[in-house]
Amino acid sequence: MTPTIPSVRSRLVAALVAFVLGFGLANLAIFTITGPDRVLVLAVAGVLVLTSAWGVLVADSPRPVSVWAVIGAEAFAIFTLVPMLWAVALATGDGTTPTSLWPQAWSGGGFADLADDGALRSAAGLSVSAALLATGVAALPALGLAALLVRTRWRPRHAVRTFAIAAALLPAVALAVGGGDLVLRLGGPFEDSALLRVALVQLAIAVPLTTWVFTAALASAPWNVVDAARVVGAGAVRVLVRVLLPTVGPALLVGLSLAAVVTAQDLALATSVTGPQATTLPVLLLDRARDPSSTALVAAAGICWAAPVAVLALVVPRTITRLLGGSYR
Amino acid sequence: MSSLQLRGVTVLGPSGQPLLDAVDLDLADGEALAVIGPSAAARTTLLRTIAGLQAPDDGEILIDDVDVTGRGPRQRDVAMVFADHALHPRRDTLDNLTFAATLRRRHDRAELAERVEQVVDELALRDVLDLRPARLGADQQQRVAIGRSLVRDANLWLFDDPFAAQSERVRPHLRSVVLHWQTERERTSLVATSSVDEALSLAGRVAVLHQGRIRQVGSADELYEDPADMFVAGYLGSPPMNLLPAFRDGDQLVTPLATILVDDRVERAIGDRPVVIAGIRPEHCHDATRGKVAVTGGVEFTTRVDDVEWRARSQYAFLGFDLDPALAEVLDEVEEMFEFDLFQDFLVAEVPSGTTVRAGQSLHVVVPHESIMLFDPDSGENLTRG
Repeated sequence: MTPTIPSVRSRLVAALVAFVLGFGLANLAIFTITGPDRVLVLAVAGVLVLTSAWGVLVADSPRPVSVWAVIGAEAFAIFTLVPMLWAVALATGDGTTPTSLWPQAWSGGGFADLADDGALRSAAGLSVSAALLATGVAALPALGLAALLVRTRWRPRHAVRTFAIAAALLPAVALAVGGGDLVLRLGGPFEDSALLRVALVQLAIAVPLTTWVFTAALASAPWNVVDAARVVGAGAVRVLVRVLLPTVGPALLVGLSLAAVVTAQDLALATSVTGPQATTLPVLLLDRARDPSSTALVAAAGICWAAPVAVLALVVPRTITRLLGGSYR
Repeated sequence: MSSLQLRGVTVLGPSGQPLLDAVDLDLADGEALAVIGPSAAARTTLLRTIAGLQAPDDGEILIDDVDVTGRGPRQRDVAMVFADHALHPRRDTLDNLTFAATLRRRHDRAELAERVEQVVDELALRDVLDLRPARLGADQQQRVAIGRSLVRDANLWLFDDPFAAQSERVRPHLRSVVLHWQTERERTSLVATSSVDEALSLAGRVAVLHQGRIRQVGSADELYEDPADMFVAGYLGSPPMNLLPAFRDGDQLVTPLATILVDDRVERAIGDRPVVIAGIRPEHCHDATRGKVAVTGGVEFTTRVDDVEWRARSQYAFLGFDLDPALAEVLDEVEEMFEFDLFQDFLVAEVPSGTTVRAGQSLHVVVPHESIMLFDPDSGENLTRG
């Protein structure tokens, strides 16, 4: 696809907007903000003014770069980083409400208490175990279904894939009452084990999500190489070991990790099948967040809980984008 | 060596239309057969079905007189060059060359190394041995795919458009390499290609596949000189045979450019058909503008040259004509039936390169009467076939 080159007028207007925003923020910082936050806001204003200057310089350039896109990326970074900075300020503080976005205390705050809190540890353990169990159980049927969707001319395959995607996007709260009630009625081992109850109800997230990402992963498999291997006499195991695992294995692993991480974030379904004795981390954090004295601990736990998502997004961004059905390349 | 027989092999497409329609083929031990036709999908389906990657909806496949129709690729001992190369994306050239051979449990390492060395030299792959497919050009990828099949050394070789990505300069060399391996080892091979020249240079016999059916099988000469139907006549040859509508008018057949005398041969051929299609090869259109040609009783006509295309040893004169709209509609229906562009509103005459022919001048053409073929417009059958 040939990249579009924005017009000079568009770039100049974007540069003007960046300058006005930067100028406004700088004045706001100088006249109304005090302390370390002034430096932060001035830095943001500086970036905007520099963007404006760069926009003027490249206005007439044939390079396919959009000044509006750069401003958008900067806005995205600001609106993502500000809440994160605030969470860090809360987590590292001494329990009182911080007065600045820039963390002041660096005393360890909530992070220091994380290891000592048994309820948090067991909730995190339950969340991780249940998510891994649900994803692991979901993986096998999802792989079979994905193979069916990708490798056969099964007529309803498009409808099934659309259904899987729709089910993965369905608000979990819509299934919470019905799903939770069904699981609670099962009795037997489910009555005694919170892990089994949570894992079972979280299959409602894990199955469609793993089907979605596995379908994308298998669709990009080199099936022609599989055919080439079959022609020369390779059996199913050899095809799996020599062709499929090296080529699709990494994408399947990333897809499985993504599904486990998303499943572990579930709040609504887990709430419907757990109680005060044993619950998942998101449910416990929401409960603790209502107590002002636990703010630092909850913020610290929240940051730790978000870490796997950040790691996945930073380490394998392309694979995740591809698995979710799109590519920026 | 292996013999190969296909008996009424039918493969249906996704919407139920036949990709292969009762295909019969016979290849003797060590024989090379080329399959040509305009549809890449049909050619590929034929090879995939023989390889066991696709099950036929009907018919039988016999390798060495053993029915392998229900057996998987593993039991067929076949090597195949895929049109899309099918190289392992995470392995370098050397690994891809040995990939096919090492996938089988028992292989002689020393023999494999020797074959790889030979293939690497003959296919000019030494400089790219440590590169993965993504870093190779399409031509290099294709050479690796060919090399992989040669290294594999199966009893039956299948080639699906094996030289399509190669430049015109390299193709003859590659063809000779493949031909050399094939004849030296007496391997039975089937080459599917869209290139008529390629087919003729690689195989002793050629099968023309169109609309899922094998239209004709024979040597290049047989197919060219004695085509079974209008499609074979119009598909083979560059430029292809000129096909003109011809009306019966008493003892004459009237075409847009010339009138053909109905003699006994023509009479027997056309029977009571009011319209037939006359086929004239460009090389049978002799230029008689500046003198007599050694043709007696030929069909003669004079017309204006619309355009001239120069070739090294000859030149093609394009002689335009007008078609009656009703007739054009009939020809459109015939083309629709064959799903192929058979008719033009010009006739191509091959003129020796020494002759001065310019657009706008008149050209007097003589066509030997016996070289004119006649085809049935409804079935496409060659009515003058010997």
